[in-house]
Amino acid sequence: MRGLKEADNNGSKTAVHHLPPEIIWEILSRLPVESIFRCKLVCKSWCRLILDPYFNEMQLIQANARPKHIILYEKYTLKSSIFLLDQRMDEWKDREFPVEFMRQYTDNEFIISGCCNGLLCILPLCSLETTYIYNPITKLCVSLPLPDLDSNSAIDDTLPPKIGFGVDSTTKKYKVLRVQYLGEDIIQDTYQFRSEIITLGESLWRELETPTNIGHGCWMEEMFFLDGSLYWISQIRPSSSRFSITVFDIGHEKFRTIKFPPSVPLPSFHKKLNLMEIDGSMALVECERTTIRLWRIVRDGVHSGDPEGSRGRRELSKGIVLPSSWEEIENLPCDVLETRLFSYVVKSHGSENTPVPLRDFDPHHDIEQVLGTGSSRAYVTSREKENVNAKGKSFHFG
Amino acid sequence: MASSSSSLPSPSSSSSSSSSKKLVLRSSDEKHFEVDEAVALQSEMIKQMVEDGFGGDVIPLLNVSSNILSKVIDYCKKHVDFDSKKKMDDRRRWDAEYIDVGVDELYHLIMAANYRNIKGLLDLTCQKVADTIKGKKPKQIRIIFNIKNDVTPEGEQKIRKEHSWAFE
Repeated sequence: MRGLKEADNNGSKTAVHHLPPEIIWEILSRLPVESIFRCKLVCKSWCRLILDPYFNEMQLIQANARPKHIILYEKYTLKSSIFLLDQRMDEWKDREFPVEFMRQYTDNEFIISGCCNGLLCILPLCSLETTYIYNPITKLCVSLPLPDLDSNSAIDDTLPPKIGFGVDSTTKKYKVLRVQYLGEDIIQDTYQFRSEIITLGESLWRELETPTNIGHGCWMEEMFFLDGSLYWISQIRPSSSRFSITVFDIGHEKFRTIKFPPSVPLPSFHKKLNLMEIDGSMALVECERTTIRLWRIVRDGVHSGDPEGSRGRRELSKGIVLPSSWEEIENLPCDVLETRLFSYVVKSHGSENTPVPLRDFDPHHDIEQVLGTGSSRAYVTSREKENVNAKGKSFHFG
Repeated sequence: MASSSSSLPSPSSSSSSSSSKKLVLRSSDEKHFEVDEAVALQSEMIKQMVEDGFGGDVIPLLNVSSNILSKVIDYCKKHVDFDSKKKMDDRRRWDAEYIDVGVDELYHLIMAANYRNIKGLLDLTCQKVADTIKGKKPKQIRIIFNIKNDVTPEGEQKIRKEHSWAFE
């Protein structure tokens, strides 16, 4: 009652906590995660609102609607930190987040093999069967159970497993897919793989029925998560140099392949092929010194809010040829291309953590590095994400 | 030109722009505001009333005072304009200036936006409060919004321990 009285006596100060709870909720869900935790201390009623499970969902929706963060880290260095870049007003700011749990390894190099809703899937280089799901903001870390490697003796351990991380859009469950290359079957002219999946919160990996056309021997391509599916570039059979895109539906746990459009040339040293998200769809990007060409995967019958449509057939559209002039690229409706290019540029300039404004870089000089497989990788992630309470809920193993 | 075809007496409206339909809103302190229908329909609540056939001359808004109502109408008018032009930068600039108000007025704007269900204004006002809270310590937040601290020292200790990273 005292709070109320004070508000009355002091006309200029209306107690904002007299707002209906749904409004307070709306307000708190718009805050960055650090602030949300601090707000737990403001008063009991705010703390209760934040602890409500629905608050998570709302916060995630709000976070997805905001501009995205970029997470940067350098591969093959001893620096066990990631950097979070975000744009405040017109400036890019970076913050360093040490990946503390990596300190238990003498050699603290790691790979980020996936990123989804702000959570990172991290593998220590010296122990690739270990998988961590890490929230860089809350520093909460969960280590996944080890896969059952003994049950298959034929594993070719010269090649690291490919790990993909994503969330099922319907059930909101996080899953990790692990694909291990087993070798080549010369008679059948196929590659062989073993794939397993685990749902966060479960204690066992489940083996999946795995088609033979989901990768190739020197399998360097990373899995890219977008909208309920993992995507990666794969070679169909050893004897042919035809490539396709493998799509793994996280909800249905099924593999599919999308053929490359005929106009896409073979990937080579000079022509780098990459997958990236452009304007909400997956796109194949070919990058040469002077041109960037894009092929966007268009979906049939997509209507917003139509769950059937979003699971509908997907195919590659006609290629769009872009000149390398930076102005014209900027005119593309593809913020993500920009942010990804930008983040590569940050590192390729060797300027430590000082972000270089996009307009200052010379595309003729940098583009190949930008889209190539350099030693730095950038992940575009939703802002601050993180399931404030879900940390205890979804990520504990039973 | 077309006036001869109209057999209805013209309404005793003081407004000279007669092209669109008007609605009259009444604030809690009995002041009347005549606005274009398009402006009033920014409020989902009024839209619903009109769709449900509420044809009365005056729409009473029992818990919105005249000074807040006029501010809310400013917002709706401007946003009807913006919607037809789609100038994002202008809109953002205007919104920022519009929402630069004290906590008290902000509170009443939120309540009005919530009660009359004006989504854009609710977004804008809630974001403003969020921006005010962002980066502040719990103590500062309590002072700004005049909130009584009812968290026990033990409770506070526990939360600080759990999320020490957030208080660094």
